[in-house]
Amino acid sequence: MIEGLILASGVSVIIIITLIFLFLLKEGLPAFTSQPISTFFNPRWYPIEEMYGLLPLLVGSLLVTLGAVVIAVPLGLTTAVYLGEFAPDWLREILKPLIEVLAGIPSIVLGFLGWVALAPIIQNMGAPTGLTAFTGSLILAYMALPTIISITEDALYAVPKEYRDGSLAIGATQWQTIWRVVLPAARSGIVIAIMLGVGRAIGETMAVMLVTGNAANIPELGLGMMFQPIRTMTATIAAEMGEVAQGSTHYSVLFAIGIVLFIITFLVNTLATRLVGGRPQQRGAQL
Amino acid sequence: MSRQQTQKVATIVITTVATLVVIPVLLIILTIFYNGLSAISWEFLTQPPRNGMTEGGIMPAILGTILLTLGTAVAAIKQFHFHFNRWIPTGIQYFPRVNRFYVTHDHSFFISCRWLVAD
Repeated sequence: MIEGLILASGVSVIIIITLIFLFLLKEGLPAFTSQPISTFFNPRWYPIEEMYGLLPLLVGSLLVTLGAVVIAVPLGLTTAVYLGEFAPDWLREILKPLIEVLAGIPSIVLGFLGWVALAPIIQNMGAPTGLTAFTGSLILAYMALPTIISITEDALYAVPKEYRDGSLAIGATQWQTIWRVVLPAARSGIVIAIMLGVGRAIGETMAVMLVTGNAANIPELGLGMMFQPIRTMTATIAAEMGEVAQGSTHYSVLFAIGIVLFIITFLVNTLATRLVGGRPQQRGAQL
Repeated sequence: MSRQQTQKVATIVITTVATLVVIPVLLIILTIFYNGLSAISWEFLTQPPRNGMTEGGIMPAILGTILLTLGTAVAAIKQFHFHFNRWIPTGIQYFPRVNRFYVTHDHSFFISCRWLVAD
C-alpha cells in the first residue's frame, strides 16, 4: 500500500516533467519550421519587425554568466580558504552565518539593490549607463558566493586533520599544505560547491532583468564590452511572454528560446557530471 | 621567492580578498535594514493596500507568499525519502561528518531545499 503510493508519486513526478518538456517542444518547434533557420542568426532582435535574431540574447546570457563565474569562483574559493584555514575561530563563527544570511536574501531583493545602489556607482565610474552586463555579473556573483563559500568551507573542514598534520610535520608551510594537500583532498566537494553556486546564478531571471538594461544589442568586442547594456534569454522570455499574442510566431520563438535554454542547461549539467565523475554517492564522499 | 615569502604573500592576499568579499555582504544587509526598517509598522504588516497602493500595507502579499510556500511544501513532501534515520527530499543527502544536508543530484530545482533543511 505505502510502497504503491510512493511508486505512484515517483511516477507522477516523471510524467509531469515529461509533460512540461513535451509542452515546451509543442509550442516552440513551430518557430523552427515556420521560417528559415537563418532568421535566428539575424544580428537583431526586433520581434515587432519580424526580426528574431537570437545572437544578441545568446551573447548577453553568455557575457553575464561568464562574468559572474569569473568573479564568483576565485573570490568564493579564496574566502572559503580564509574562513577555513586562516580566520580565528571567533571570526569564523561570525562570518559564516553572515554569509549564509546572504543566501537567504531573495534574488529580487539583490536585483533591486543592484538597481538603486550599484548601478549609480557603475555609472559614476564612467560607463554610459549603470545598467550593464558587469552590473548583472556582480549581482549574480554575489548570489553564487554564499553557496560556493559555505560548501567549500565544509569540504575543507571535512579533510582529515591527519593530512594537515602530516604535511606540516615534514616541514611544509601553511600555504604549501593548503595548496598541495588540503585543496586537492577537498576537490570533489569544491567542484560541487562551484556547480551549485553557478547553478543558482545561471538560470536567474528577475535580478538580471532589473540590472542589465535589457537592450538587445551585441556589444562590440573589446575591454568595454562588459560595460554595455545587454539582454539575456531568460529576461526576454519574462519581459515579453506577458504581452505576446498566443500562437503567433513571436510566441513560438519565445518558447524556442526556452528550448535553447533547456539544451544549454542540459549540456552544462552533463559536462559537470562528467567533470565530477562517478555516482552521486561517491561524489559526495569528501564531505 | 622562498616558500616563507610565498606563505606571507598568500596570507596577505587571501585575507584581503576575504575582507573585500565580506564588506559588500555587510553593506547589502545594512542597506536593506537601514532603508527598509522605518517603513515596517503594525499597519504595514496587517492591512491591505489602499489608494492605489500608496497607503495601507502588504497583508495580501504576505498571505500569498505563505499559501504558495505551503502548496509547494505539499507537492514536494511526497518526494521525500528515508535516509540516515530521517526523511529528506530526493536528491538531498545527509553528510554526518559535517552534519549537513547537500544536494547530490544535478537538479537545480532542489537547491533551495538545502536552505530549508540545513543545520
